[in-house]
Amino acid sequence: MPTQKTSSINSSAVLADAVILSQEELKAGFFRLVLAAPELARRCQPGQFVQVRVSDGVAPLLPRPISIHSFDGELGILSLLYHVAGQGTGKLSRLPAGESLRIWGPLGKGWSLPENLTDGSAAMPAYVDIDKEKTLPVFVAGGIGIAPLPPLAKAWRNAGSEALLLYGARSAGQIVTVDEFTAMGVDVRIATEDGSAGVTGRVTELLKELDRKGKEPLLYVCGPKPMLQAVAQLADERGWLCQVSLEERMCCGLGACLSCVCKKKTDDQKEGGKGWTHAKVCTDGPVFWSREVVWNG
Amino acid sequence: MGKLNLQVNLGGLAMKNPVTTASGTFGFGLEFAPFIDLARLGAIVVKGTTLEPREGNATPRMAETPAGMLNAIGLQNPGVDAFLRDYLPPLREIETPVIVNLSGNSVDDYGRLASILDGADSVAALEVNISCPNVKQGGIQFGTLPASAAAVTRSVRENTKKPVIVKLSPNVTDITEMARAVVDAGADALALINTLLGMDIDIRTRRPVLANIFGGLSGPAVKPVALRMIYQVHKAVKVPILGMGGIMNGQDAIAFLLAGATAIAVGTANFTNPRATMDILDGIGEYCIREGVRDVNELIGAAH
Repeated sequence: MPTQKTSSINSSAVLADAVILSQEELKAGFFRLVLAAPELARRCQPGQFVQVRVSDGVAPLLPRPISIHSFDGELGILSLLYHVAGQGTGKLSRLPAGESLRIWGPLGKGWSLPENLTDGSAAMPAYVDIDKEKTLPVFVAGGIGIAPLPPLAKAWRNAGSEALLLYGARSAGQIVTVDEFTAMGVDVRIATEDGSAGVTGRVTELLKELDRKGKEPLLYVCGPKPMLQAVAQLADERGWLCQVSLEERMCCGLGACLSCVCKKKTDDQKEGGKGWTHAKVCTDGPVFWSREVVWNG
Repeated sequence: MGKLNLQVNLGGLAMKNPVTTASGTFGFGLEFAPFIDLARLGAIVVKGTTLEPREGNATPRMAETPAGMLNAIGLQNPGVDAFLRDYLPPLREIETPVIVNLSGNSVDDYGRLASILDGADSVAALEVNISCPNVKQGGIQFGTLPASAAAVTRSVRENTKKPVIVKLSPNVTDITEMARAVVDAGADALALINTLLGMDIDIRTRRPVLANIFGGLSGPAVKPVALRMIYQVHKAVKVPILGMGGIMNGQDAIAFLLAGATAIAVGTANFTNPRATMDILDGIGEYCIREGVRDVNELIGAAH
């Protein structure tokens, strides 16, 4: 199992009153929000998230953690991709361009990349020894789980690597931002449960048929928990490295409240330990190596 | 008008201003360092600490409610030894008193914890949690019976020279009875209120939302209950009160002082605004200047 350095403090996070530059409904219920937040955008790394305060009052009370869909430090902008799931995201979707929105971040530990793949400015730590020439990055998304993947795809493509996106959704109406990946030169495969786009079935079917191109796949997965678990299991059976971005109910996003924990394996079983500990999704994650996660229980 | 005095004294703990953090909402303090100047806080109350490490409850541990939230964290913490070794040293660098919230499974546990923490110079005071609704032991049963609340308080009192603040549960019939019991047993100050026991149900799954079924309700929804209890307790006992329960801004904090709180703790608001403690501190100062108040102590209990 790869070892992973964790930091429980988001030392680079900032609070910003971000101006909404645009709010676009891509498909029914799927929105892309573009924000001007120069200091925050400059600090983002692939796979991180921001806390978004949707209301100034008490309804909804808590901020919403939303994945960073894209960021441009030079332009000072970032975008969020979200699906309207309830009161908070519903209210967010009605905010027009020109309004400002209180957000804080970037938060959490994002995707891990090989050290030789990042430029100095990204300062991405290397958690695992990978030869990028022999690695095929495979992005696996379920529904709105596509949201945190573009900056990751960009990092791999900028380094000249081939890359693959396997994208699963219930129907064609829930497939968004595919053009962003094809524009980057990412090979995109789609599966829908109702067969309205791509192959009929789940994203795991695409993964089973994976053309490895003579390389060792490295999976980056984001989507609903049953999908993460299924992909993690498949990766485990095939001996592929796999990172998953987890989601849990969250309050602070800063590692203080301990609401958003997941069970993470530990090495203490030999000493009579129980073999797991509660890790914080907000600061120890949201991205974990799949083999570190206790999926059942 | 001369300089505004914001200094208060909470049962022997000198504070440069009345603003502290509610245990469990502020981690071990440094989590909020990117957003605020920790040295501006009157005190930092850290996460509840037990003798042994605890993993806490299963998830979901949190649910949002109208104007509030439910939590059932279950006192997840690294244990007192890890706290003293790993979490306290960086806090020493900050010129703000650290109050440690402690919790135990038995009266004896509380005494042992108090004794261990008494030896830590950079711990300024102890907040005794006899009111956590989320753990079967070490929680609410101590805080709902006057005799056991008093026994826990006595055990802590006998094992420390530091100021002892006992945090009361609102889940009782008569809060003043609990207050008198722990003051008679040696509490230097009282903290109230802890969360109100509540629950939510997901009508789609037809199951309770929290894995623990019940959780503690906090946030603006509980503010009127907190104010009422602080008002009652201020009348009933002589010791100072650390007031908390849904304080979101400076105006809320002022209301707590007027009800009888000497200092206030910011809890759920830290989640809605990581700068909440600073905004509340500024809000208290602005109110005093606007109203011609020279000393914040003038406000304590002024609504009576």
